[in-house]
Amino acid sequence: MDRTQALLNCLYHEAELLDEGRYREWLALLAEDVRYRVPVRVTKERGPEGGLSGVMEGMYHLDEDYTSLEMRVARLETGFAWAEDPPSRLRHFVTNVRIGEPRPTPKGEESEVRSNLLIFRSRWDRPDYTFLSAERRDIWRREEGGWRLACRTVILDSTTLPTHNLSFFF
Amino acid sequence: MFTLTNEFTTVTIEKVQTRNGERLRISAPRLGYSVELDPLELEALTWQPVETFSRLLSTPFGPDEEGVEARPLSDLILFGGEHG
Amino acid sequence: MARVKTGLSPRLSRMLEELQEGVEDGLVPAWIFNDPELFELEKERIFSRSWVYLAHESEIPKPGDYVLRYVLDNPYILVRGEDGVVRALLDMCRHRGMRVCRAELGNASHFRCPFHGWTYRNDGRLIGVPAEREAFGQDLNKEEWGLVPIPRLEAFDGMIFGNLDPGAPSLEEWLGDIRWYLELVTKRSPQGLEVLGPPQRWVVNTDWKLALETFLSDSYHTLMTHRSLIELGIAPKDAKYAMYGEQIHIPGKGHGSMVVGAPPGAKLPPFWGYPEEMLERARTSYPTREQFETARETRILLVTLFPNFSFHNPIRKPDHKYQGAVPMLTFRVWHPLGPGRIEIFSWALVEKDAPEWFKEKTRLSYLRFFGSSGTFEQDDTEIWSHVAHNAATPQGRHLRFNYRMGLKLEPDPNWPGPGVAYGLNFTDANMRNFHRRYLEMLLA
Repeated sequence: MDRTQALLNCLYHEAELLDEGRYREWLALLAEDVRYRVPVRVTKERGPEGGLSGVMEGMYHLDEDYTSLEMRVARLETGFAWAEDPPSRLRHFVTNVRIGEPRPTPKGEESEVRSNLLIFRSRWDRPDYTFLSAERRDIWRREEGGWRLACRTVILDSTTLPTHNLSFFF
Repeated sequence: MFTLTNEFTTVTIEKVQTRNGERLRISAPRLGYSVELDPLELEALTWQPVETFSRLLSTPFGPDEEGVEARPLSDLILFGGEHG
Repeated sequence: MARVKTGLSPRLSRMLEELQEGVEDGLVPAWIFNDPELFELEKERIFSRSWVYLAHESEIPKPGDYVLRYVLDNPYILVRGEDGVVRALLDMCRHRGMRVCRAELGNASHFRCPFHGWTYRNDGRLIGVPAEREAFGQDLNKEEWGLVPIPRLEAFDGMIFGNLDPGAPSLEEWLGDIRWYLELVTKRSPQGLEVLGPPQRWVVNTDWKLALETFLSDSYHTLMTHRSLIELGIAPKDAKYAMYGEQIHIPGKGHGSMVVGAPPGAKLPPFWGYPEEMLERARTSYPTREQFETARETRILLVTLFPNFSFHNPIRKPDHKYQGAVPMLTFRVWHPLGPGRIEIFSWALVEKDAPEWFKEKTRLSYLRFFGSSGTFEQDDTEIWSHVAHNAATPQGRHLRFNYRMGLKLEPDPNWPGPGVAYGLNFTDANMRNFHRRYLEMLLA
């Protein structure tokens, strides 16, 4: 299988794990030195060179490593994590996937993968729902046993979040 | 050259060499103005109070043209104007 | 207490009488947490007359620095002028009402309106009008057309508050004795505090009073709401850990604090677990010996100011495997958006002179446990939203909630700080005091 197809499969497989709450399997997709961040976004002018506006480097909604992500998963398993008990019905829609050139590093071959993400979230028996839209800027690394997520920065398209908590993963 | 931006405008700043010296060129690409200041002029800026800049900004989009004749459009219609 | 005044609809008068009758007995009707008519009254009589927290001065340290903040839905540019003075200017062009500031934060010496170009200096003065001579001739007196400042703006130890009521008492008088408790944080270091970044902002379908209550008096919820963190060994093993503290309220003001120590037998470092050097600085930084002695025994500190500001300062660590303690500090505004809907503004702060390694770790302690993704707070917002939903239902709205916890407790005569203190934190005393003040403002 070619690299592009393998990485696409990774993203779709990951989305399935997150939609179905198979978080231990999801953790297995992460590199041990993973850096997982969701910066706060604010309304701000675009820089003169263009690009994204208002992505704050000083504050995050999530700034995680493997240990803290594992802690969040373990919490969901306690049976007392009311934010996700009953669980949200989540659907991760992954589109516009852009895969960069492979890059050798001391830790293995790495590839930048960008994707657009739309998360649908519905809770309890309410007919209403929330959407979160974002771009994910990932680095995936080829390790023994397959590709692992080494770094993810989630560029939210919201400043004020339209949902009451971030008890799920992007 | 470097660029300075806030939500109101963008300016570029660069050092320009003249034959025998140098100046700082400040350009506002959106409005199309540009000025080249020598070290003495720049030094003079350093002791300006904010009032100076407020006075400069009293015309917020660059200088108002002086002596513009505000002729009513009805002049042109009633009296045939330029094509009469 | 005075009977419900006229000027209110018969429906609202009847409802407030019901609240008034129940408050001292610890019975509070559910409808106060989600009612459109009451919300309008709260806007007029509470949020239009109270000191509302806007920003910390470290958010705008330099001339021209500004952040955008709200009192109700009035947008204010909180800006430090070239003269170093902080002002809160209504973000509304005097000419036709457009927002003159289009970023949530930034630095500007002047604000230029995108509608017709009227331009204001960052002290609010109108200094530029395009084609002024042709458009207005000599008749425009620019001095009369500056941006409108908030009626009152005052600060306490770097905490900036605004008030829409020109006749409001001073901030100092408004705060009263709660200052002793605020100082446990604001004067922990001679350098004071700094924010670690802009606030996280998110919306919750709940009432501002429900959110506030959790931080003002509800030590009782931790054993069930936050059980997941006890299971993980993040919160102390003793599920009643938040009970071991004093609950203090300031009569007549509505403010309150919870000062929690170590549970019996639990080995927790003193002084929230802050580094030794910070403890040493605090020894001389606090205004009184009593404050230092109190701080040394504190592991969790919460202060809530009437009507909608809280801070939370617990011992914590960045994750469940981290060895040692890294406390965190978060400031909160429970910003009312409408009946049953709030926006939370949540900041992380740290002492300016804290060691750099500590600043990094305390940021992580905050992000993992509080704020939009916090593993404590996730469960709070989930629960608050269902309570608010029930509070608006035809049957549920008439149920009266039980605020009788600790009704028979006697005040602790040995507590060194001001206010009325109870030696057991499992009490609704702070909330009963809040409701008294709440009613007083609604009826006055």
